[in-house]
Amino acid sequence: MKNRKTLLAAIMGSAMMALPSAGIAQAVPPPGPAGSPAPGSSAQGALERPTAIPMQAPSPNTMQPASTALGSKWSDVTKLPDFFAGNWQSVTSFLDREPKTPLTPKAKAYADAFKPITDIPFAGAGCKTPGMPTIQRLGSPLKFFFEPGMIAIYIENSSMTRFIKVNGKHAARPNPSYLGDSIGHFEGNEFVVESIAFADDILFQYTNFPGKGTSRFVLPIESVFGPHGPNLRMVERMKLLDPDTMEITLTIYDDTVWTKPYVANTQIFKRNRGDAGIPAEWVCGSGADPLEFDPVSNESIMQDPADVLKKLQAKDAK
Amino acid sequence: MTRKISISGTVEKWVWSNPHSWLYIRTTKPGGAQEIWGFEAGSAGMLARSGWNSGDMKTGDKVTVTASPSRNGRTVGLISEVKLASGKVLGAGFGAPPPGVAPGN
Repeated sequence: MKNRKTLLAAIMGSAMMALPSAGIAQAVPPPGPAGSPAPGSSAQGALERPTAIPMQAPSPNTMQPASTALGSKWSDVTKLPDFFAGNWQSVTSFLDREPKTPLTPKAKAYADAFKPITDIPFAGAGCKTPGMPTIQRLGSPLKFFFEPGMIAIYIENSSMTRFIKVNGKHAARPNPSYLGDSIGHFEGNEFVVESIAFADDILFQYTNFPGKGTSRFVLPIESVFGPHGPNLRMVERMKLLDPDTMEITLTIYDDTVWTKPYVANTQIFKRNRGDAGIPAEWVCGSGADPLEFDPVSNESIMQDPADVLKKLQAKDAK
Repeated sequence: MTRKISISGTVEKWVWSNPHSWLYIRTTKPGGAQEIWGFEAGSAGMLARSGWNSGDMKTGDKVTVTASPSRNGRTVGLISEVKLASGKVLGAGFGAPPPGVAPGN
């Protein structure tokens, strides 16, 4: 298994910025499919629940929205853009090309001193996820699911799932996570998603090395990755360009890094249908990769393939 | 990335895995010495979408691999295609790493 070093330092604070809410919370869950009672709301449902597990009152953070806006009812699925059939595969680079948004003095000083490791930067030790937004861009597909008040996006890379509260509001005290705390709503045919509360060590691209670009298959990756600020906020706008093409634009707000909002490169995804449209699982740990990070030299060392093969065969022999 | 090599040999290990799959083969050089090559392929899910299967290769199979070799001189490369003894060709296709992903230094 790759033993790769996480690139980012931890400086994230705990304060969260005030954010506009897109809906009003309520305590009563909405009906289930086809007008059936909500799960657990009937006497039969109560009998079917394991009696040894006490029922808990819903947390304020998990209440369903009372909104009647698009995406709040089962029947809305027929009115939504079809994000849901099959899955979506990125066909654009996972790195931003030639980002030009001005850096703050602090971020520029960081970028000027940045020394990349000779490695693929998105693969942390143990295949640790790079988090948003990179995790959605790595080439393996995204799969969308819907329920009233929720759109989930399964990300094949990492086998992680984003849960976006549709017409809901952010958690009152969101804990940091690699995918963030996300709310969304529809503006016409666009699904607009706002995410906050990110882990301090997501892979966060500031800019590129001046004049070097980011050509394919070049190591080290010629981008500067650094820590983000405590109020980092990402706003995505997702829409279909045609039945099999999806576009995601992304604007990143972090005034500790940029002097104005950062507009990321537009990402294009193509729809896989049929068998290809079924997501796969993602588990790392085979130990088959000869590239191994060496913290002493701060670069990844390519081991002799014969040595790696011996280790794999020894493992098989046990 | 433009230079390609073609290596024929015997499968020692085919590892169907994430983040990428690896094929290890034993080959014989012109002087008779043997060496081990490691070839990197895509993730298991993406290879499956490209028509590959974990059972396509097993230890002892004869294969010919076309690949982009590592620039550091190691016997490592990024798979473009694998020709099986049956004549079937497995192309990287979707299984190729996405733009911006490197095969190793």
